Amino acid sequence: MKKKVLVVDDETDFLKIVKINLEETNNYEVLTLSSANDIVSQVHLFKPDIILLDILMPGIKGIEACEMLNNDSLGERIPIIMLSALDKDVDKLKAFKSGVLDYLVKPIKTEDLISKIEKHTQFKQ
Amino acid sequence: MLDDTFKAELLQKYKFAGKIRLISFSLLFFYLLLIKYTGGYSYINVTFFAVILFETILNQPYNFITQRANIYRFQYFQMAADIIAISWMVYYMGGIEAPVVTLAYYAVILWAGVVSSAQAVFFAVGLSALLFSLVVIFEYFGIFPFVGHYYYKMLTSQMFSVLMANISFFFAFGYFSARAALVIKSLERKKYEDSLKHEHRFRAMGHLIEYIAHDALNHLANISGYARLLSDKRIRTAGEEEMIKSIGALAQESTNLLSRLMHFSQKPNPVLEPVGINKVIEDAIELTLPLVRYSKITVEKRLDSANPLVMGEKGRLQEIFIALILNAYDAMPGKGTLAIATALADKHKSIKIDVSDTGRGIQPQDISRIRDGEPFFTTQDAQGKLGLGLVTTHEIVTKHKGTIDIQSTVGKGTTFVIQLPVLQKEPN
Repeated sequence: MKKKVLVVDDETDFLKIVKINLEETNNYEVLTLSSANDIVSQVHLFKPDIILLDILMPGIKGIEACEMLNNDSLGERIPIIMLSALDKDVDKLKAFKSGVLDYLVKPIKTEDLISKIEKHTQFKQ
Repeated sequence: MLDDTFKAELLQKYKFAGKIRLISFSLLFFYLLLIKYTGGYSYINVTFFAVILFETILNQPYNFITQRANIYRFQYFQMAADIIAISWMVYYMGGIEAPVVTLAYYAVILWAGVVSSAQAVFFAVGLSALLFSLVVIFEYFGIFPFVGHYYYKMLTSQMFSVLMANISFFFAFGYFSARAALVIKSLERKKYEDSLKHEHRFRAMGHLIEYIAHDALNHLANISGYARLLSDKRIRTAGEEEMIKSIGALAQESTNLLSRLMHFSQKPNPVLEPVGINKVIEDAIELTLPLVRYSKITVEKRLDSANPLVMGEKGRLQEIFIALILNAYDAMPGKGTLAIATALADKHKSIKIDVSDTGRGIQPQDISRIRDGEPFFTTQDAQGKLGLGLVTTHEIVTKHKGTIDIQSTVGKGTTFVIQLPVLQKEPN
């Protein structure tokens, strides 16, 4: 069974690249969102196994989205990997404090992304 | 902020002065020892040691005194103590007959001018003149025991003329020292203001760099992502042409972002030229967009289609709008609208630019301080905010023969109204 990955990022090019890369392996079903504004409702509809979340987005930011998910019965059980173009310790700290499991700095190699997704979803199987 | 810096600098100077004073007294002590053994004159006695002790006690615990006392008041005590000590020494070294020692008065007067203010100089001059006169007159008329070291006594008329000459020199020297004090103060202030303006620009840039770097890095990450997809033979079907187009667009966007930042980081060219105000505003919005984009602020612009020209420095004019946009950004931590509108006014003789935000607004008492372009005034409480931009704005607008006004309602928002003279077209 394919794992469901929800990717939230305001960079549509990035969404396209991740979607192609992950779906090409035939192991993942990918849903992309260009903003986190309705992340909770989308999580309920799509029921992802893992969420890849950009930290800096217009509107609702990654950390806020994390907090929204933490307050949701379904959202709080889904592992989150934070993504960012900036390798800032302050951001990493904030992200880990808000409950994310991993933090990846762009550009992200597909192999690294897949290994992280596998690592955090292995108990789901 | 300014006061703290001046105070800290003054403290440093006084600590330094303390060291100089001790070295001078030690040198004087060795000099007097030398003349005692070579020339036979002995000025060294218990009183002289008392003077040295007095100065030493006063100078040593500088850290202790200056941290507890008000340095502005303390410097007057310090000067008074120095002048008393000098007068004491003048007396024990022969009063009017030892005029070389009066040079020490000049040192205090000069010092007051260099580190302090014109008032301090006149305080030093007045006290020096008073104490020197008292020492000389009291010694001459026998109120103090006579300590002359020469074998004749001056005539009264001669004593008074020498005394008056000395006092006149104190005042003349004091006048130049006070003038120097004013010049030094204004230079120091200018230097400080310049450094703060530079710091403001640097801070604004630092603020923008993070977001511009974020966007540029994102573009590069996407370019590298597309390149990897294109090089992967298995995924060739996914639309090569579209990916190549995206790479081109992303590279162009990164170039634009970085070149705008590079232009802003360069020292503005102080050349006056006809500048399209709409373009200046659009460039400022573009430059700040990476920052504003991630906030909950909406930017609205209504620019006059006549696109009037203003005679000015392009880079500096752009600084006005960057400062006002960043100011609005700081004033609206939550949701808000930043609106920039231009319209010809004053029978097409000037262009009116309204930059308004829906932020927290400014208190009425603070508005007048900003209106006056009071340096270093900011209503933004947290350090590191960009309020200093208002000083820069005021200065640039005035330099371009324009005016700036503020309309603000607490809790509703602020509008900065800038009016700049429009470059009139030459009649054909």
